[in-house]
Amino acid sequence: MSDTAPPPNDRTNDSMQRPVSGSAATPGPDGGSSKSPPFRRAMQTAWPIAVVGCAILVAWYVLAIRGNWPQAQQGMAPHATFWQTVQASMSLDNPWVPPPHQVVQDLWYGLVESASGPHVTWVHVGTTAEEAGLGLLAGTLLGILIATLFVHAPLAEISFMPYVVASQTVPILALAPILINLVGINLKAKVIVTTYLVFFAVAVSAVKGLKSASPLAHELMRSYAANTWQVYWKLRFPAALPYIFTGLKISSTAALVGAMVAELIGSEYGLGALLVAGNTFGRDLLLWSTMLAGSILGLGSYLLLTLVERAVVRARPRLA
Amino acid sequence: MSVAQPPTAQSVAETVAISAEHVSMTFQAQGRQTVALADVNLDVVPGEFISLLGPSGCGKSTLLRLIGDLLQPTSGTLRVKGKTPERARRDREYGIVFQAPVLYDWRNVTRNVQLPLEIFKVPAAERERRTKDLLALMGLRDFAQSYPWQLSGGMQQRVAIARALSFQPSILLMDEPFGALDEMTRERLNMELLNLWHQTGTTIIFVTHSIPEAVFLSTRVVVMTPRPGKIERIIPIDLPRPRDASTRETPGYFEYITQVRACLREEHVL
Repeated sequence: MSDTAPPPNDRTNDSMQRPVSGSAATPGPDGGSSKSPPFRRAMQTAWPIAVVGCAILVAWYVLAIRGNWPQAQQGMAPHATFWQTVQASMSLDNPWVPPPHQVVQDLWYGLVESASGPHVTWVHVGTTAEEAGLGLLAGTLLGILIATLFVHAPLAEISFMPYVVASQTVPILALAPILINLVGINLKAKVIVTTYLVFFAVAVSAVKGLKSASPLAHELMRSYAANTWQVYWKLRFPAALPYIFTGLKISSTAALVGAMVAELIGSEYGLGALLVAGNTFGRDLLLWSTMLAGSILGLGSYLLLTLVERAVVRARPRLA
Repeated sequence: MSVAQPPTAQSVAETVAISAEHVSMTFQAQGRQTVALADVNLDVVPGEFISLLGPSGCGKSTLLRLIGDLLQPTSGTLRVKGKTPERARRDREYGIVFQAPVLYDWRNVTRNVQLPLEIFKVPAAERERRTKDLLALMGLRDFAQSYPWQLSGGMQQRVAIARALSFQPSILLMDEPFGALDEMTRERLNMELLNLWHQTGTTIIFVTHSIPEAVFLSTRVVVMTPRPGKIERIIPIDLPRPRDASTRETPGYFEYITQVRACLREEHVL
């Protein structure tokens, strides 16, 4: 029926139980990962991530040296050696391309060393996380609600879907100021902007998910004379959960972007407000460390969702 | 009520589990009409094991779906225990088993079997009791907590049968339930199905395209032919019961198989 449906069961011989490999069904490079202890499995995931991470770091340093070269040369004696210039480019006061360690230092300074200092980064991170989290929650509920309506009233889907799609073509940068003018610079406004960015992906994936159960599964319900409510909670919704989580993961990063964009306008706190501050005072390092904080937050929410998904979704493990 | 039946609904229900009178079914697709069933007449006595046998396109699955109120006939009358199929469905008279097990992936074996009981709002304690008995009966006790995708095809189909039996329906509708299984598994499940039938006394309508399977299981084999789908002949199978693996080696069994084959050959199906 749908292209993302799980593969049909192969019905082979009886009473032979297929090996159970839990949720880690994707075999690792050596093919024997399903039997390896959790630690080894974790390592198999960790090393490719580490390799890519190192590659990014190396590329970043190369870019930083090249980008900061003219700036570094300015403060040096004319016959400075190559290595002296490289060293200088690593520790400029306000570099054009800050190297990774300076970005991390700046974030560390904001988070730990200056907890009551000029930029109380924890408060900013917390503010953005709160807005994004609330928006994600509201957007998910709204998305599922819309999808439920669409699935049960095809006329509603036909008549509203174009407008739902159109709503997403409006740039959030254009919409955020209008909304904030209407609602004011407060939590509500930011949650609304975030919700607006979140609900679409959830609604689209939930519509597909709520329709994903096979016709036979529905006929089974019909033979039990199950009512619409029972069909929804016992068949449609559980079948939709894997789809909804896919939409949620896409939206979780969008939620952060939404919250930060909303904070760009007149906010005192939040990562968006930090970006404005960095821009206003010409502190590029602050822009970079704020971006780093944002990506850590995004990664964290993605991981959290993955864990929740694992606990909630009891679908068959996908075979590679 | 049908015009030709003078007795009361009550007495009809006692003597006829299912009756079909002049039932026809025409499908419309892209302006083309396909006659799936033409003038089908059939009476099924309570407790019978009826096989609907025929090649693809003979309308055997369509007839099963009409009985189960998954489709509505274009013309003709169907009565199930004196009621319309819809009434009978709402009264939960049907347990249905499809060719695919149609188990819910997110439920383990026990919870799959309990699905209809949950929908019928059977109390939890009663659900547990009935499921336990059924799983034992179907040889699924060790798999009670397993998920469908951890089971072989034959085991999955057993779960589907257990689920259909869980609410003790008076009629079991089976649409090629063993069609996707290998020969050995199929024969074993045939035996188990006969045992279940003896124990429960359920009326069974069984769609199949396997001649040996139909002969082995049934009280009567309904031979159907395609274009348009109709009942060619109804052959009573008077092999002694209980039937077991040795039944498949008796001359009588082979005679019935030959008889069914001859009937299909006459219609150029074989």
